[in-house]
Amino acid sequence: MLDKPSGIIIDDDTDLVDITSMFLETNGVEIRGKGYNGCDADKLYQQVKPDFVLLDMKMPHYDGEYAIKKIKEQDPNAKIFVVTGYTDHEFSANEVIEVFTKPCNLKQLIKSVKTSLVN
Amino acid sequence: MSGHVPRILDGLGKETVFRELYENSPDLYRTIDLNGKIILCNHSYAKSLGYTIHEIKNNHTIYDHVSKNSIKILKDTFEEWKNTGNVSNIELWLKRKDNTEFPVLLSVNSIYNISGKVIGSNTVIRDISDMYSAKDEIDFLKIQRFSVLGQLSARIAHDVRNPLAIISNALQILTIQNNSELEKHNPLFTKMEKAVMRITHQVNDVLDYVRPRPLNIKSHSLLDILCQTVESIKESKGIVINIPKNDVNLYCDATKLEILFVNLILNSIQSMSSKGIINIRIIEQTSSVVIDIEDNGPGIPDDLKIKIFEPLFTTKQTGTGLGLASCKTIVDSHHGTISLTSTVEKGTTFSIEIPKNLVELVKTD
Repeated sequence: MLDKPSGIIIDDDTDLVDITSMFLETNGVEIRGKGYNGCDADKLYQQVKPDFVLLDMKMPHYDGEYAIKKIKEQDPNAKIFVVTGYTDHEFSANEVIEVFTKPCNLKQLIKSVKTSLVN
Repeated sequence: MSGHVPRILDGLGKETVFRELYENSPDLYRTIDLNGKIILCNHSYAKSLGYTIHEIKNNHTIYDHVSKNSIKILKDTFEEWKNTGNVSNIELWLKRKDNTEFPVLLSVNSIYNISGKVIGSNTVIRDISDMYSAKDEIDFLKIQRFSVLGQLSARIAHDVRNPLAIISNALQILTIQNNSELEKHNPLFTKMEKAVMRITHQVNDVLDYVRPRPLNIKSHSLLDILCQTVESIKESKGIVINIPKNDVNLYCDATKLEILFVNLILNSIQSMSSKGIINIRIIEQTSSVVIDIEDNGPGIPDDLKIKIFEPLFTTKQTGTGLGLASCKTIVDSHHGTISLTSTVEKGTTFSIEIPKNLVELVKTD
């Protein structure tokens, strides 16, 4: 059986970060950090080494694209899930595991996370 | 022209007046025989086409001066003139000596010999390049407006989706808690979830039509996508949705296909009001997969069938009128086809066909 998966959540909407992490924590996921831009994402990933990242794309200053680039530099196998309102970024094959559009089905999200960690 | 020359022109003679009119008119005049040979033309005509009158006269036919794309129109027009003796305001493109082209309106009148036999025609041609550049300008402004609209929609969608996600996530937390106090309110939660879903689809419809995001192609179980779609719709009283028993793995954009299926299924549900059956079928073919969505609703009358994929077309009181238009955009982006068969009072079936080799097709885009 898999250990409790751990993740970080990055989104510039603080309420959304709180409420999403509340759902994940009540569903057997450990949230190791919350961040609000691409720079936070990069730093948090380095500090807490999570199993996966939930990442918004459109954020002020350092956006999701920046975060993907920096995190992949640290760890090419990083498991990134994009949860976004809108993006016209074209993801290349190994960049992210899956792209969800807000509002998304959180049970489905957890299922995808768990599947990706088993593989 | 009945042939009367006003007194003021006395002394000039009828012929002089008419010759003046022909030779120095700002419009382009040419006279041809029954074979289409140009036997006479005016200064404007020769100048516009980049020749001298001498070069053209008795040397060129009308086909020497037409652009390649307009040859067929000219042939048809020539035939029409021979049959009816009269043609007016035909739009086509002429070709200059230097091979550049310009748009014109062309009108033809027969000329007769003394015994009343048709011997050729006078053609009046008007250069409409200015009208075309005005049209181009309007088109350009439209495109510009459309792009502003696209950017605005993307911003609104982003800004609306965040609060929607907060409401939706909060509801998902409330509904999974084992609390009898909360369970009492489940019908309320369902209504709220449905409302969130409605706004979400409105936003998706507009955005997917105005600013389609690039495809994110991966191999997916079609049945999984269908199940998720049906689950997201929540139950509708009196409507039975039959999901297929077979499954196919298909390269596609799952989020986009979900939007497609939701639109089609919601349309069916809304058309059937309170009672009905929706059958979904997956049919695997050699090089493609067909998904049928069949309902036993009121059907679509023939005169509306051709219109339903047009943007903003709707018969409903609510909705953007973009649902089926964005369905078509989604299917097109998957290199597929969408069609419908419908019988009034029996029901409607939408068929979507998606090729299995989408990955290769997209590479060559």
